[in-house]
Amino acid sequence: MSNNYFQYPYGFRYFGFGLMILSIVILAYRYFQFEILDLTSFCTPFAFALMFVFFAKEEINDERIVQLKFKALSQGIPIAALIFSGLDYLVNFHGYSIETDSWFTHSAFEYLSVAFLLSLSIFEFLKWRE
Amino acid sequence: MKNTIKVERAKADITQGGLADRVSVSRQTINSIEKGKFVPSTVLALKIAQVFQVSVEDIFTLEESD
Repeated sequence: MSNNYFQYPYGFRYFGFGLMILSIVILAYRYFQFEILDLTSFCTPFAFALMFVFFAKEEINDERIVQLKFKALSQGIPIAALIFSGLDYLVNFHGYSIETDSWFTHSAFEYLSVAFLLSLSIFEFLKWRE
Repeated sequence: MKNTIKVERAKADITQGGLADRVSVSRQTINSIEKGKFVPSTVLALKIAQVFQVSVEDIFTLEESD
């Protein structure tokens, strides 16, 4: 019986880290050169990078790791949803859009970035604790 | 669920790392199982029992709360 829960090979985590660093560098460049702080554009590759890191296989990929990752996801996703629900409700950063007749909210990739960041942190904490 | 892996390891003179290598899991997984923090799958339980050459029921027992 093989364990193929995680689709990406172990090396994909390094690709994810590289993509993360690239995202941060581009964000910093655009901010310091042009004073543009575009979090949505930053979060799109950042969310993908975190996804690659989270779903890449570990060095030893056993059933306990699968369980811990699922546990981390089950905590990270709702916490991130709560944070963004609160942020959207309490603070409308960009206001109301007349064209779409709706309030501006945070992008899905911003939410995904926070959700995966939380899940990864919780996973590493659970791995250390147990 | 209770288990006697630590006792069986001592009898067989195997470390946690040694047992982990034989059943293809991490040492932390064996540690978690011994402490009762993680319940192994059927396959893993059978592999562990095979290492010690005993039956699964000799190592793992259900508790009242299970």
